[in-house]
Amino acid sequence: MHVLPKHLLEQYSDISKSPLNKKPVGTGPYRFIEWKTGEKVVFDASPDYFEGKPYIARVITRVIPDQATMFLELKTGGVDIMTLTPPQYVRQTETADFRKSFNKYKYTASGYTYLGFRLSHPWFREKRVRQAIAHAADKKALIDGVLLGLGQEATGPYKPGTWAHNPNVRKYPHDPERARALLAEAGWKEKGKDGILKKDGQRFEFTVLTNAGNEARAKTAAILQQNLAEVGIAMKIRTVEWAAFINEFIDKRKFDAVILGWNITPDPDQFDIWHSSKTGPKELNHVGFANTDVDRLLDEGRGTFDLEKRKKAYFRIQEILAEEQPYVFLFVPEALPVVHHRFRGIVPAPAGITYNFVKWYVPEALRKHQVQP
Amino acid sequence: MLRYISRRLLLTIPLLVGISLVSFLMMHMAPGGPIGAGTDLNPKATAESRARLKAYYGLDRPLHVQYGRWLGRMATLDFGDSFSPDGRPVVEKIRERIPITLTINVLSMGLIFLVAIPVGVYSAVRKGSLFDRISTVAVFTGFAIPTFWLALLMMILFGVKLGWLPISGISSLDHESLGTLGKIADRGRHLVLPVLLAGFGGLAGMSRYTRSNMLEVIRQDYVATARAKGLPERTVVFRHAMRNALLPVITILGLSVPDLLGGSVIFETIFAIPGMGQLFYQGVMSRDYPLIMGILTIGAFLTLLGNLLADVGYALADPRIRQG
Repeated sequence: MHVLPKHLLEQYSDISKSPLNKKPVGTGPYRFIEWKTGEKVVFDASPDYFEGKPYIARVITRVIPDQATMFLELKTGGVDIMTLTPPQYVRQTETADFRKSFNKYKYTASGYTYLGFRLSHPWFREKRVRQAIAHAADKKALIDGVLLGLGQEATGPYKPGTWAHNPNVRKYPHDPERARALLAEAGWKEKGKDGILKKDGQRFEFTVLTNAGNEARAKTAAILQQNLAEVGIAMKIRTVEWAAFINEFIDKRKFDAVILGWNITPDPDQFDIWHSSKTGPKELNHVGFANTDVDRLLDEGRGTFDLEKRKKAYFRIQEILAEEQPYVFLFVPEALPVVHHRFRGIVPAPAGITYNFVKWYVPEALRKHQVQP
Repeated sequence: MLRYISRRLLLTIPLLVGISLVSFLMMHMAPGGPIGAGTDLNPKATAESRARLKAYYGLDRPLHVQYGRWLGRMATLDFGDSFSPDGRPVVEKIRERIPITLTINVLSMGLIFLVAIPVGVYSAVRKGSLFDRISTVAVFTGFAIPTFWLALLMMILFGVKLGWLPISGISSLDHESLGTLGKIADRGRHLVLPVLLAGFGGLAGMSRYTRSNMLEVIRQDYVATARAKGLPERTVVFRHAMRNALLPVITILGLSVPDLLGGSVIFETIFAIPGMGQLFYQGVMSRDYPLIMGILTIGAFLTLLGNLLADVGYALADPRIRQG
C-alpha cells in the first residue's frame, strides 16, 4: 500500500490522470524535484522528514543502461554510488588507486536463484529424482563460476542470518555417486551408449528454461548442464525473452524445469509461492507444489503475530521443502555496493548500507557539489 | 510533375493503413501484453485486478475493435496515451526524444558525407594506390568493429585516461547552472564521442559506394572526351566525373530520411543517450502498444516520404529520368 495525498488528489475525478503520476508527492526523506526521462531524476532533502532533514542536500539518480558505462562513470566521478558486478568487484577494483577513492561493501542480498521442477512431469514427480539432481548440482562451482565466490549456498527460500531462516535442514552436498544411486533407486538404471540414463526405453533428457538477458542465470544453466551430464542426465538449455517466457511457458506450465529467482521479502510469509491453492494460471506456485502440512503451516504462520510460533512454522516448512526439493535451492548472491570515499556515516549492517542514508554526510573539506539555494 | 507527386502522396494513405495493420497484428501476436510488466510474478496482482487493468486500457475488446479505435484516433492525428505507468501522451514522449536523436544522426551523416565522398573519389581516381588500399582497410575496419567495444575503448581513453571528454549522457550535472554558451559547449562535448563513432561505422558504405560509382563513370566516353579536349585533370574529375557519379547519392539521402529519427539501441545504451532507439526498445519490451504503433507509423510515413523525395529529387537532377 502507498500513502496517497488526499489534498492533492481529491480534485481529480480520475486519479490515474493526475499530474502526481509524473511528480509524486510522498512522506520520505527526499522530495521529488525533477524527472528528465531516460536521463535522471532529482531529489532534494525534505526538512519535514520525521527523522530530521537528511545531511545530503540533493540526490540525483542517473539512468545509465550499460553496466560497463556506469563503471567508467564511477571512475571519472560522474557517479558516486552504484552496485558492482562480481567481476568488477573482484577483478577491476582491486587497485590502490581505486581503493583510495572508493569504499566497497558486501552484504547478503535479499534474493535467491533456484532450479524449479514442474512437479506434474512424470520424472520429476518422483522425489528421489529431484534429490538426485540436488546432489548432482555443484553449488560451490556455481558460486565460484557465476558469482566469483561472492555468494553462499541456499538451503531454502529464506535469507541466511534472518530469524526465519532455518540453518539445520537436510543438505545436499555435491555427490555424483549418491545422485546416481538415487536415480537407480528411482528406476534409472540402464545407460545408453552416449552415457545418458534410460528407463522404459526413454532417455533422461529435459529442457531447462530461463529468461534471456540474465547472464547469471545463463551461466548457472551451463554449469548445471555439466553437473547433470556427469550423472547421466542430458539437460538442454533454452532462453526465452521475458514476456514470452512468462506467458507462453510459465503460465501455460509448458516447461520441464526452470532457472529463476525470487526476492526474499522481510516478512517470511510465502503463501503465494508454496500454498497448493496458488497453482492456478498466473499464480506463483508454478511448479505445482502441494503438501498438506506446508499448507497448514503457511496458514499458521500468517495467522499469528507470535514470533516464536511463526518461527516454528517456517522452520518446519523449510525442513519439508529441503526434504521434498520442489526447487533445488542454488545460491544467495552478495550485494556489492560501492560508494565514493568522501561519504561518511555509512554503517554496514545485515540490511545493507542505505538504511541510514539520511545520516550520511560529506566533510566540508571534501565537498564536491554545492546546491544553490 | 505535380500530378505525379499528388498521386504518389494519395497512394501513401492505403500503404500506411496496410503497414499499420500488419504492425498492429504482429504486435498483438507477440506473447504477453502491456499489463504483464506490472502483474507477472506479482503476488499482489489478482485475477480481478488484471481484468480491471485490461478493461482500463481497452484490451478486453476484440482485436478489430481495438484497431478500429486506434485508426479512428490516428485519423485526427491523435497518437493516444502511453500504457507505461506515467501514462503520458505518446506524442510528448516521442517529441522529447527527437532533438537528441536527430542532432546525432544529422551530425554523423554530415560527417560521413564530408569524409566518405572525398575518400571515395580519391581512391577511385588513384585506384590501387597506397591511399586506396589504406582507406579501404580503414573504412572496413570501422564497419566491422563492434560499436559497443570501440565505444568502450574510446570512453576509457578520452574519458578516463585523458579526461578530455564526458563519458555518457547528454549533459553535465551542473548543466542548468551554465550560461547559454556554456550549455552549448557542454552539449557539444557530450556529442563528440557518439557522433564520431556513428560516423566511423558508416564510412564504409558511403565511401565504397562513391568509389565504385566513380570508377564506373571514369570509364565513360564523355570523360575520355573531356580529357581529349585537354581539360585539366581537376576539371575532368570534379566537373565531369564526380557530378555524375554522385547522382545516386540522392537516392541514398532519400532512403536515409527515416534513419534520421531512428536511433540505434546499442549505441544509445552504451552512451546512456535518451533517444528514439531506447524509447522504442523499451516500448517493445513492455508491450506499450500505443507507443510502438506511434513510432512505427512515423517511421513508415518517413520511409514513404523519403522514397518520394528521392524519386522527385532524382528526376529533377537527371534529365534522362525526367524525360523517360
